[in-house]
Amino acid sequence: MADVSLDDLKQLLVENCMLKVSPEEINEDAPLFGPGSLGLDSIDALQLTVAIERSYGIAIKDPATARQVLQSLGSLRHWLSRELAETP
Amino acid sequence: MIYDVAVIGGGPGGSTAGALAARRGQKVLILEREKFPRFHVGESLIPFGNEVLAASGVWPKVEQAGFIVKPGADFTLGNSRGMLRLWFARSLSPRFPTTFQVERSKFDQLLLNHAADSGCEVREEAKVENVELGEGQTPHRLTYRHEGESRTVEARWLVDASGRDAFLGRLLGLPKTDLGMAKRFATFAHFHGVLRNEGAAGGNITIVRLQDAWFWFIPLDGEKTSVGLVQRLDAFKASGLTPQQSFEQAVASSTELRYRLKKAERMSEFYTAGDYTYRHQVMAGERWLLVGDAAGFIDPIFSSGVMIALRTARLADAAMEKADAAAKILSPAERSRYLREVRKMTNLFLKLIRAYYDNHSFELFLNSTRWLNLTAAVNSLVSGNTRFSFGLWWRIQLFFILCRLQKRFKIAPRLDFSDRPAPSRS
Repeated sequence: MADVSLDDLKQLLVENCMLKVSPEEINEDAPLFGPGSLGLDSIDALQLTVAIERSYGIAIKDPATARQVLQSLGSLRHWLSRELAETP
Repeated sequence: MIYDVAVIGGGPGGSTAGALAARRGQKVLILEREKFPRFHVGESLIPFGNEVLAASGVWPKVEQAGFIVKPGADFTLGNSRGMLRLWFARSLSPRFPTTFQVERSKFDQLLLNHAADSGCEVREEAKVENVELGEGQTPHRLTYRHEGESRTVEARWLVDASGRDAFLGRLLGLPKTDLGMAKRFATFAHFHGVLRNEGAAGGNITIVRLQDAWFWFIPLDGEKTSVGLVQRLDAFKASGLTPQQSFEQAVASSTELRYRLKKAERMSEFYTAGDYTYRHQVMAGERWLLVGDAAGFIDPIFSSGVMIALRTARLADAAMEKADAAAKILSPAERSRYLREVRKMTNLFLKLIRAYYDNHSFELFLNSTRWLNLTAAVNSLVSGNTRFSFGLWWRIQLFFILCRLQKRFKIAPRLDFSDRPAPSRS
């Protein structure tokens, strides 16, 4: 069972999204979308989803799940680690 | 001999009221029914109780006792698809950046010993059987059973810190307000091998929210974690399950709970408790006061119980000191002031508790309160701050208004509580 590290997720974010801030400014709690956030848009969301599936083999299957787990890197990491734990 | 203050109950409320009174020269007797150390539920503190522990002088001892540092609180969904992490240090009023998780057998013993060190006479295994309240200058007469015999003592003041037993409330038949919360039922035990949060968040309390129930995870030391399920009493009764079956069924149905408890082993029996929110409508008489759970009990979700016990103990001590300084009894105005202060403190928590149990308000709590520093404001309330600055006050009001709007409009995304069953082990 691989652990999901915050640095790996940051890397994923930097490689796949058009960030308006530098990676050093990203913390676990920062919202990814919406006002006062890192300013990702729907294209970024799609790219990120694809990248997560490629890196971890975990698919975000529906928009409702995406909205909840892509709140912040913290919530993404939280969800991914649980998914990985129950994936054979 | 007449004591200045007799205290019924040696829990945090009683030992704090006793220590505070003794430290200003009062002759204090604390009567505790049980022999300490003893098990007690309610193992998480919140920061705004720290100042009372400092005032009673016990804080340095608490700091050195090796309790787990609690820097915040985590709220997560049972299906692991949403979480909110609150660090007390990032609240809008970060006066106390951390507090402690406390195994109550150890914490309560520490506080009671401190009361004795402060000059209180402490009697354990002393069960109060009757109280005759004195009128005017006549002292109260307490009869208690200790070492097989009945004893009587007299005291000018009486502090009832008997917990949910509510000794005086029952004796005097004090009216209660039931506050309109559903009756809930808690099932809990200590485990080792429970998965902790990463890094500093390992000291946080974690609340796992299911659709209509919730779990607490409280790290008590390097190994031991307190885990409890709180559900509606009517649903539990209708299920026909034993408390243990109900606990295990809930764990099996949730991704988050399975993950945390995968390698856990239970190291205590299962305990149960009814969580019936109520509040007495009278909390003080001419020379008596109710503190902590004896005054009222509110749902434990925000770990407010010990803090309210500590702060009411301090308010009660201040009321006694003021009355003694003027050589008077508590006037009706002072009694209603005490009631008002306790109610104000609990009302704010009650509002937050109602929001927590309302699934739509919880959507907002979990997701979209980051604008305008709303999360930091709610964090202040979760930290136990009930004396609001204006900036805090309007944000809290706005949060509750948004909670009402969320029922009709989708301000924050709707939460999906659905979860998948445990993977089969074939």
